[in-house]
Amino acid sequence: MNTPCVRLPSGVPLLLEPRSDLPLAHVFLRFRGGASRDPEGAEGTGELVTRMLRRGTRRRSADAIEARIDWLGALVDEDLDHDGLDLEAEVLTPDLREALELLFELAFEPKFDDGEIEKARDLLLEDIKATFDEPEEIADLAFAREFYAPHPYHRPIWGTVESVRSIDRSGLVAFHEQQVRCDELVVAVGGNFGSIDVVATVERLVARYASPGGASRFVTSRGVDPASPPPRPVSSGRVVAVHRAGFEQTQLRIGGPGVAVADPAIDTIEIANLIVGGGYTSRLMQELRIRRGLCYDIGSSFDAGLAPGAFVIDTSTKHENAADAVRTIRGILEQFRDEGPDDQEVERAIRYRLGMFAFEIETSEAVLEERLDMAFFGLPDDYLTRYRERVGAITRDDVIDVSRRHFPLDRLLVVAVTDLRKTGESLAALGRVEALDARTFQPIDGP
Amino acid sequence: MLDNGATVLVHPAPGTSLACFYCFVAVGSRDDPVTKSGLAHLLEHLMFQGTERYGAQEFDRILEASGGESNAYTTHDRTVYHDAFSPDALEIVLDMEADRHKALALTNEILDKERDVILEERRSALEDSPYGRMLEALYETALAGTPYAWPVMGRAVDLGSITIDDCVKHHSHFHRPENLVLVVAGDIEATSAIRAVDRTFGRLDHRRVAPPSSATAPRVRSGSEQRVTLRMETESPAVLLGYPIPSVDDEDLLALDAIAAIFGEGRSSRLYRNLVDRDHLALDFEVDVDELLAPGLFATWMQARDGVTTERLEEAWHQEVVRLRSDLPTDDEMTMFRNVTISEHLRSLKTVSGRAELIGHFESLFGDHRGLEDVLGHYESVTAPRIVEVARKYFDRHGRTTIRLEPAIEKDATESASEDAR
Repeated sequence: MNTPCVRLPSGVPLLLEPRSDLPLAHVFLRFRGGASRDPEGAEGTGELVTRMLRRGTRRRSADAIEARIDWLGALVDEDLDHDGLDLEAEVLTPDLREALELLFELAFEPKFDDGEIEKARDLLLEDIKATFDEPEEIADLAFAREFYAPHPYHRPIWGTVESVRSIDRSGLVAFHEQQVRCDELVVAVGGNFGSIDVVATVERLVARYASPGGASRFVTSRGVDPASPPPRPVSSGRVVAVHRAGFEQTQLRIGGPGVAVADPAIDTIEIANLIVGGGYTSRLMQELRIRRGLCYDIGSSFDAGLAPGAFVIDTSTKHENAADAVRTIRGILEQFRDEGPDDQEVERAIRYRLGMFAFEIETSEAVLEERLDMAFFGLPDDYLTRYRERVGAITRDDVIDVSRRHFPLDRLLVVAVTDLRKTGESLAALGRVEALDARTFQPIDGP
Repeated sequence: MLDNGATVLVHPAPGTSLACFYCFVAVGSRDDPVTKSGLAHLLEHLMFQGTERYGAQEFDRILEASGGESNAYTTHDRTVYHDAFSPDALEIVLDMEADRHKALALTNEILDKERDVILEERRSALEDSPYGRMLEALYETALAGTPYAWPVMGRAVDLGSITIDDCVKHHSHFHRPENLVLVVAGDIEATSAIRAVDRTFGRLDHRRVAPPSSATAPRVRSGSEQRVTLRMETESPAVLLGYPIPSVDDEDLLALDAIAAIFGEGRSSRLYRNLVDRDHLALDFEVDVDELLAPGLFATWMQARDGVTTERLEEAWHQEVVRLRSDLPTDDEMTMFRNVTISEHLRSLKTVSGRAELIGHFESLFGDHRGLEDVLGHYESVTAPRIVEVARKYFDRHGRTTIRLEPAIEKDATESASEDAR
């Protein structure tokens, strides 16, 4: 874990995590920005740009790119979230230099060919439509939409059918110019480097693509991206029912205001979350699955990002049990806030967390991803090396303190993707139900 | 091997500060009694519900307090229990693991709750998933009359009929030592690990119990093509095609893996290039090769693009099969297959847990973990002419089973998916 972070002449941080146990190497390019920077009304722009990165560059066609990736037996993945854009590759060690060249080419030289744009747009539109068959996707989209509005985190990363249809080539080029820049970039390389001089190779590539005088924001600013204001605190007690006929279960998302990754209490919040809904012995799992048989899976998490995210509980249950599940969850949160955890729970959660930490940093790739997060979210340089020490020092009082501050019952939002013909009456007993259509998220007549 | 017949394998990984344990039990859903499908999977769930020595939920509490966690999965052929933990917890982990293979403390209340949990699992994984429903229909149809016909989770109607007595008999018969392959891996010393396994699993009785009434031996139907149409509320019609293939020990499986890669591995694969990118017919697809102890299926799933019929998708697939049966794969396709195989194999070795699981898998399924060392060499032997030969042997329209998913005719008439056998 004490391996170097090299500052290239342009200021771009290069994280290295060499390990020689297997002839595999991995490369990550992470650009700060993400779908939060989609223009209003043109949601999906960042996603379409991300998909276009593999659809042809100034040097080669989309077919040639895909043929080369598969010929190498490489894994290449591109992904966009609200805070950033990731490109990553895993290759056999002899192909590391080529992988580095390829990822930089994909990132910085997309051609945005009109025919390829239309192909990518068609696929994205159909992917959006297909989410109507995915109960979990509908629930996640509905929760984000209701919880985060008007912050950019509420917008669907894939956009909507209308917004994606409205995007033109100039919008894609503009987003790419704003987003994919060396001054927003962190590079990470891990695994077996073989005989390749990784620093020299990356330095050459960054020099090829960096704008003159563009100092890295990762040197001049840390932490929250000034372009992303914090989400508005939610009001609540709201119950939002998204009607979709045909499913056998109701999908539930129940949550409230969370924290940003860089929150100083994040380690203690993780321990509190383990006790509530993070492990097999958690209160939610024990009550809803083990004692009551209401669900197969249930968990809670803090979806932390550059800006404060949400605390979310997610589960699914047959329609007739949906209201009972919500009441049970509310009761568990209330008890946790009022009474806090007992000593045994805190001790077990800390030991569990520390034990799992060894598995989370087992591979060079996993360590690199942690270090990328540290650089990206502005965490202290000793965040990983002192992790065990910090978590080991957490006390029951610390957990009680965060349980009162970060499990706010009075602002819980309940989203249920459900068949209102079957659950309307029982959900109405939870409070006023706002009913939405699953395809449009527009209001419909409720129970 | 222990005196009682259990097989023990140790994989030391010094300096990792972690340990894991895998227990492969030679029982899967294929061993479910015909009218009690889902029994093996239900028993896997019940194995976490306590014994005489370790009460309900104590297993997980002790494990988490030792910095560890546990899980399990059931396949058609095997049930696998696995734990990840701190090396200093090895003794207690082995003691708890061995204890639950002796006898369980079951009650009707526990059984009923776990049955409810599995019904919820079924709703998530099968009933609310168009793909899940199609898979269930494919195996029910293509492998009818074999113990692979039902889903690992069981049919909902059968789950309701399973009793405690069924569970006890199943446990007694299948969880005997000679059915177990145990793998200890991580930052542990080999000799002391073997001693610890002997002190715990060595105490299991070498018992002989009459087998519960079980299914007939697997057989694969032959004859004319079978077709089923499912209707449910969906945005995307889809088609799932299954072809009978031999069991995992047949050398044709290697060439079938290569065929799956040529059809579906990456965005330069034939299905992506032709059906998704060039002809705009498919939105997504999946190609799978069963690796089962008895004959299974080669399955291809394709999701239709807007305005594309399932008939058109089937026709496009047929063209791809015709081409595979007549033309040699290109040199680039053969190189891709070799490089992908090497990369995937190396990826599976990245973690201690991944290595332990592979070792146990080879020992439990093939009777020799050293088979792992030869796996890449076997794939090297697959040639382009061999791929054409194998394609001609198995991709026969007459033996095929086709499942189509079509939108419900009336939008709200979808209380449950209907099936029209044709």
